[in-house]
Amino acid sequence: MTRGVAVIGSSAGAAQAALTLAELGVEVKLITPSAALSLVDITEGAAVTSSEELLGIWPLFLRAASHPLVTLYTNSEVMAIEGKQGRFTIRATKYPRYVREDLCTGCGRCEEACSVQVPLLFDGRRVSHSAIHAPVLGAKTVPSAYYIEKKGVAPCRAACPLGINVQGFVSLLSKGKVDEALRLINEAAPLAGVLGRICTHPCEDNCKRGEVDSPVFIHALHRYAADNAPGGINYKRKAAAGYRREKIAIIGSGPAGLTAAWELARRGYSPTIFESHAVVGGMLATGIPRFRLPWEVRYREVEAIKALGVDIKTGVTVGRDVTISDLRERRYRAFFLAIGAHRSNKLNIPGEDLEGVVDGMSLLFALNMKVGAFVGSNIVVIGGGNSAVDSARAANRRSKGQVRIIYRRTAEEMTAVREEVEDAIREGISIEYLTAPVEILGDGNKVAGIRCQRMVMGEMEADGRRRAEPIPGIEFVIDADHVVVAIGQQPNTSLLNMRWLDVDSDNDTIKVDTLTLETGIPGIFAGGDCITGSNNVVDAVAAGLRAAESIDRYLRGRDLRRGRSREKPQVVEVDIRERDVSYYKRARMHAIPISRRMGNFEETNLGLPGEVVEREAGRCINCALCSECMECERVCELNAVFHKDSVCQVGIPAEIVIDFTTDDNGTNSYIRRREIAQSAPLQFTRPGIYKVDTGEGELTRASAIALKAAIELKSRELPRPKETDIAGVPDVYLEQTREEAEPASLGETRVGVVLCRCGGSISSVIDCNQVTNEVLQLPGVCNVLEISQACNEEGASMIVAQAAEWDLDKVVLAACRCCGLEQICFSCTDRRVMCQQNLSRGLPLGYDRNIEFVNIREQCAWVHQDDPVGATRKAIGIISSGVARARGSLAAASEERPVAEGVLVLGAGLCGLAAARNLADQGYSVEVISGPESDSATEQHSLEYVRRRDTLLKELEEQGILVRQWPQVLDLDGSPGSYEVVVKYQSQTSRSGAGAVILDIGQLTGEMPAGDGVIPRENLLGRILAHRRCSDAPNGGDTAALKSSAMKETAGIFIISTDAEDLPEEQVLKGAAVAARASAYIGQGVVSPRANAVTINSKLCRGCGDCAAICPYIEMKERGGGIACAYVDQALCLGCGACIAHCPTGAITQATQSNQQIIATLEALLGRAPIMVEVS
Amino acid sequence: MSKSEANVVVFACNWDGLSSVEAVAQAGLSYPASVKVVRVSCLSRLHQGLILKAFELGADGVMLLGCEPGKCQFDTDPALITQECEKARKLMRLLGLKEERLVLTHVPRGDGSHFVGRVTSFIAEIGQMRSAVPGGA
Repeated sequence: MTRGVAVIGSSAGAAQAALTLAELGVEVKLITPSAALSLVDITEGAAVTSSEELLGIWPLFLRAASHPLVTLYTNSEVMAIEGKQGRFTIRATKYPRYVREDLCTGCGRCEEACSVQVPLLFDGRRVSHSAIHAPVLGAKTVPSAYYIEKKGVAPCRAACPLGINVQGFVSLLSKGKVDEALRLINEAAPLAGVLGRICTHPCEDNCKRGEVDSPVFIHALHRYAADNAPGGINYKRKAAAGYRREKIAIIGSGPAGLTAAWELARRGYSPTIFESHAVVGGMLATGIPRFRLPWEVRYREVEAIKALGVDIKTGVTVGRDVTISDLRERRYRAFFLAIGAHRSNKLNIPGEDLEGVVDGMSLLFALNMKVGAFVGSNIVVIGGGNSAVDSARAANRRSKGQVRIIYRRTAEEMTAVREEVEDAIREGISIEYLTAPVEILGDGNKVAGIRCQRMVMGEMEADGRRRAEPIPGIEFVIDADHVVVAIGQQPNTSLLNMRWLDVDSDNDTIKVDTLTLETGIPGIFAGGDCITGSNNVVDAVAAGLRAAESIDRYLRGRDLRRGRSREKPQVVEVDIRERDVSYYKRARMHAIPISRRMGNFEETNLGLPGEVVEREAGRCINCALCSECMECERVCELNAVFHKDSVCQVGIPAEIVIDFTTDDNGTNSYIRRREIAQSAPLQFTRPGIYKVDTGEGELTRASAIALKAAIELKSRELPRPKETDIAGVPDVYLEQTREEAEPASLGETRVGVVLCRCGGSISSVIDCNQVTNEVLQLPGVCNVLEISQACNEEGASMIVAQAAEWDLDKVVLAACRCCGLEQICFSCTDRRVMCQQNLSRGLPLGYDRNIEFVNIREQCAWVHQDDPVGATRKAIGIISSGVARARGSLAAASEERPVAEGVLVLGAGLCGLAAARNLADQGYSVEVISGPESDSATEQHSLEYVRRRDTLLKELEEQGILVRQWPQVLDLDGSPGSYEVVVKYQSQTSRSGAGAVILDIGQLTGEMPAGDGVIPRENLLGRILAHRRCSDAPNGGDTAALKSSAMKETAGIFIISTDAEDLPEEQVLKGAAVAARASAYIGQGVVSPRANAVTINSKLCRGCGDCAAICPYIEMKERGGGIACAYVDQALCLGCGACIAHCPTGAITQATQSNQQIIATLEALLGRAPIMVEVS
Repeated sequence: MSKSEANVVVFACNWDGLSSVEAVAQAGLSYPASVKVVRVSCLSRLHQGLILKAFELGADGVMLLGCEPGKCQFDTDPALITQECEKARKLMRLLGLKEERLVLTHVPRGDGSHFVGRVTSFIAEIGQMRSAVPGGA
């Protein structure tokens, strides 16, 4: 098996080398660090370029990348080249594209749906693009498949204990997609309305926007999504979840219990929650005051969770009313203890049992549940956590007097949410910092005040907080008639009445494995405040999720630990300066005025007003670029988006390596890094590895080096493949004969129409139903098939099946491809080429010529998006024109002829000699005829030129090839594929066959009197040269090579011009490059005319010669009786059709664009009833 | 919308002409759906008969869209289409058609905005002709 050649790079040269090699029958691995082949450097992600230059080499890129022998490795950075010549293995890192190259059509719907805008400084202008985009903005690339810029995990998302895709939902809100935002939040966790209000939002603490001004108001946005999503809460079971019978008991309906139940229900279980209170929600109901978390919000969430299949039994205290053992007997198989921490910690100072001293939890319970509660007029709350602040604010709303908080440390150390503390102060609550209670004073019965100790901040403690130390001798008394002790809570595990439960002796928390939350008893898990002591809501929800995962694994008998960790995901590195930050201040949340808060428990904060939400969300700087909001995946009807794509290492075998990468920007030039480069055009760095300089003359160097590599491989007995081997025609169709595929006669032509939706990008503009209905009315159309994508294999097979099922003579494919020709023009795309290739593979031999392609994408749907009615009408017109053409089309020229192996080289300059040498090396028979140059011309050549020429002459001589002098007569007879060269020296005439002719006109023109003499004007070569002189177009070297990648070479005549300025080295390279093209031409073995070649009807020709005057390929021949007649060899015809326009008798026609076809097209497009096209 | 817009047939050469038509989609621009593009291999393929046929079939304007001089893929003499265009104009004068309804435009390769600019101003000119001479266009 051949290992082929690896070409590294994304420049035009790399493409040229790959194409040359492939055309010479060598398998090529084209490896590029970029997302696509392009002229511009796109390693930086995106750039904008002008199209003129790019389009010139576009056909080359496209032909190279889509050649069946070329495998393209995009996003692949070469890390090492192992092994030695003949047995290299290229180790490359292939970075993920996140979009499938085989499916993406580059329709751009994802780009529209993308909720992220990545800023970019271009030409000093601020522009932006979406996170999913084309490889180069505003320019065509191959492959055209989109790609996603993704940089790991945003800090906010990494900080979220629930793993909520914070950047994702924020970006969705920035696009006004509220339902989608809530759906994304609820993929990770429930209780959005709760979390959006009372979460301690570690996301905001980690928000990078905070380094610019202030963090994005994430929790307000979270709340906005929960409160305003038009679709409301809509919890769904996970798609893959079946129904699970195992019974699960969850003890406690707080955030941990509810969340565990939610997650288990999503996984197909029907868990039961046991709640000792009459209300559901645990602390959410009893501990969080209603002015922070209204009941309706909690109720809404609880109902949605119940709707998922969760049973909640209230008023049942497990351990008292029913025990765990009872439940086990009732076949409950797993348990989650989420009993919270409801027992308030004691101060353990004198006076704590006085009347008027209460704990925070009891006070909040009483006030929250509207149970009659005593509220004093001089209230002192002790503590610095959320429950202290909540107690103070709750009491303040019911009290006519003053409320104070005393806290032993400073404001900085308070664990309460900062905004809540600020609200408390705004509401008139004063906070005495560095104040610790020493004794609660009273009259022996009722509380009267607190004796306090002044504190000072001391050293750092183990938990990272500074220790508060008393200042000796400073004590004072604060009056109070109501003291609230809110210094944290402990769980009350004794209630559970479980003997074997392992509990911390200090604070009564349940001991668990922190990874799995399993207690010492298998099948019993615990989480939330009951394992941590009083804590925040988000950690409790996180525990619920963790417990659900463990319980699911436990019940399925899976390992509880495998693949899990408590580590935070790796956070993306963000350099704020790289981001273009729009300066908007953080939005403010509206709240009811202080005066209206007193005396009631109405919700204080009103949420963000709708009109500021998009802007606030837009403040996000999208740290990870792609936010994984999954909108692209949702809109892509072709399932081409693949977010799970990942980095992979590939080993690519190769016998020879050609490297085109440059390291000007420190980019991927593996070879340059390791070996000292010389400034010669071609560098041979170590055996088997070639380094080629990019830049001017790159294409020539590329062809030359490719040929060298191919010859090297051939010397290892690589068989020369024929064109048919390359085409890879499936065996099953080989038995089909050409006759079967011939179109039926006129009148019976059965036409089928295939309408491509292009993944919705066509069908979202054009009304496909209307098109189908109207197209079905057209004469000859027997069937219309609508498919989602025509350019992939599945689409091709549907078209093939349709053609067979309906016995179609012709198929009109309305998609993006716009012709059935082999040429690749500047408008062509990789999808169009792919479409053609898939169809050719699937259809019977030759049938693909019966497909009429019409473009309703770039030429209709995509440019008339604002006028769907007009676009639909126009599409019908375009398809009708295709149908009319298909019904009237002539059989295109398809005759194949063999190509002889000999080559004639005219002109023995360095170019010609080098070409001859390279062809001879491949075993082709070569004949070289020197130009008619004078001795004086030789004098002008440099020493280097002469030295090289002499060497080449000697080498040719060794191979038995002699350079002959310019003859008296030189004639070229025969036709493409088998020219006959007639050479006359005095009396001697020799004839030889040649498959290809190379003209080194740098050698010829200078010495040839223009237009006459040496090569007779009547001769084909003479006509071509004369035509060249008339047109001022540059035609040698790169231009000629580029043109032949656009239009397939059929004539086998290669003209190479050298400049006197060219260095000898460059001339030798040019010679090798043209030899490569000639070898590829001959190597095909056969040649057939272009499908758009003209035919001349000799019966209609009156011999005026107008056509021959404008086209060098048409010659006037005598047809007997002295009457002239125009004649063209179809393999010479380029297909421009100028002769048709100038033929006065209509003798010339073209199968692909006859007058009748053009007229039928006009009729269909202009809405005139399509006429039956006559076949002439 | 398209009702009021002039029906314009654009004969686009397959190379630079079509590339500028297609580049419109790439650039995210648009033009009226009343513009009908007919692809030909090269403008030299066209003769006056085909140009006049477009008018006969109801085109309000015909634009010949080809490559800039020296850019022809076939190295065809640019004079060929210029001459055909002149011949067609001569006949249009005879037929009483305003010769401004036929334009020959050379576009830079792949320049979508250039094409959109040309075709929209052409439509506007035709619109003016129509309103100036009732039924004249």
